[in-house]
Amino acid sequence: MIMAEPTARKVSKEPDVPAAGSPPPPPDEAVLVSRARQGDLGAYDELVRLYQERIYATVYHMTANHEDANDLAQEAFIKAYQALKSFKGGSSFYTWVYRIAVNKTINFLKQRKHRTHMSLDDLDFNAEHDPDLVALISDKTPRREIDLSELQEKLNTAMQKLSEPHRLVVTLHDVQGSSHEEIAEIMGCNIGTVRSRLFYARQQLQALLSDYLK
Amino acid sequence: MSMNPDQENFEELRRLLALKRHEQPPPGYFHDFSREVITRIKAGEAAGNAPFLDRLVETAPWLRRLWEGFEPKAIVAGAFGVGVCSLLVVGLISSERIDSNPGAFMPNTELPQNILASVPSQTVGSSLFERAAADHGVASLIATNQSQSSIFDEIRRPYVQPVTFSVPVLGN
Repeated sequence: MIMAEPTARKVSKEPDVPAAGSPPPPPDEAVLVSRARQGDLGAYDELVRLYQERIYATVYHMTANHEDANDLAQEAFIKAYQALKSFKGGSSFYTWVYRIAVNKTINFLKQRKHRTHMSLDDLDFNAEHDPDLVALISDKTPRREIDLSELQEKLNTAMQKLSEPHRLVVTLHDVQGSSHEEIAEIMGCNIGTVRSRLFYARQQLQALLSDYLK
Repeated sequence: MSMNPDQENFEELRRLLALKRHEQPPPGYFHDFSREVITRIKAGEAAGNAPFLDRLVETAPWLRRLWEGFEPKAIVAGAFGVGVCSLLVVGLISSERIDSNPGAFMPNTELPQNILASVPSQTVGSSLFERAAADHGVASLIATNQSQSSIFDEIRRPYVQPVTFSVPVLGN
């Protein structure tokens, strides 16, 4: 069953009286969408800034390629702007754009030839101090000599072996922290399907990454 | 569901996957992202007046690839065109043949007397028609046919081209 459509995503809390000199809080998403539908590109620019990182991250984790993620994320926002008149407001703009980006990415992945190019330089230095990483690469891990780039490569390789829907579920839930309900709305399926895909994808990844999980 | 080793391993897997959050684009990437999007939107609006063919090719990349494949090889393009035209001609001819000879596919409910009379009275075959013609005679067969209502009664009788056939006599 499709969940009840959520209310429009608010950018910030209801504005209290701002302190003197402080910038006003950003307007509501619905206001921005309304202005953008009337051709206000400034309003649409604000919408893009609100969601660009999450949209890009999802596409990147699906494609494992920065250039492709850049193109696809931009095209998703462009297509969303062109289709604004058809946006009826039944779901949040965020979810709607997400769907566009996801569909574009899945179509792209199905069409492209197999490419193994992955952006291995994207792992920033802060990961070395990530407590999860420290806990993972510990005396419990057989391969203690593994370095970050190898781990990233293995992880991305394993992700690319999943089918697009399974990879998407893992990306949205385990990488980006989306809830089952949010994922179901983005993917246009029920929560049971999300859970079963997630379970299956985790089993697959567990088998592929068994050397790094013991 | 109680905690089990599988779930515990999923926990490690989830921690591993969470590391992907550290994969970030180059520094400053998002500073220009929205500006590039807006620029492309404006360019797209300006190109909205582009010719129909240009817009069609833009929206159908496979069409562009097909066209680019034909450009350096005129012979291939010509052969492709000839093939398409040939298919069209064959299709037209086939449809005309069906239209001009519909009787070949319609059952013959009224056979000329001279044809039916040539059927020997002996029962030589196992077909129902031959046995009926031999046992009951042609007239009764026709009458039988005519007395029974048929779904073909309402269909305008098509032109029927008589077919002559001879039934081999067995047992001689």
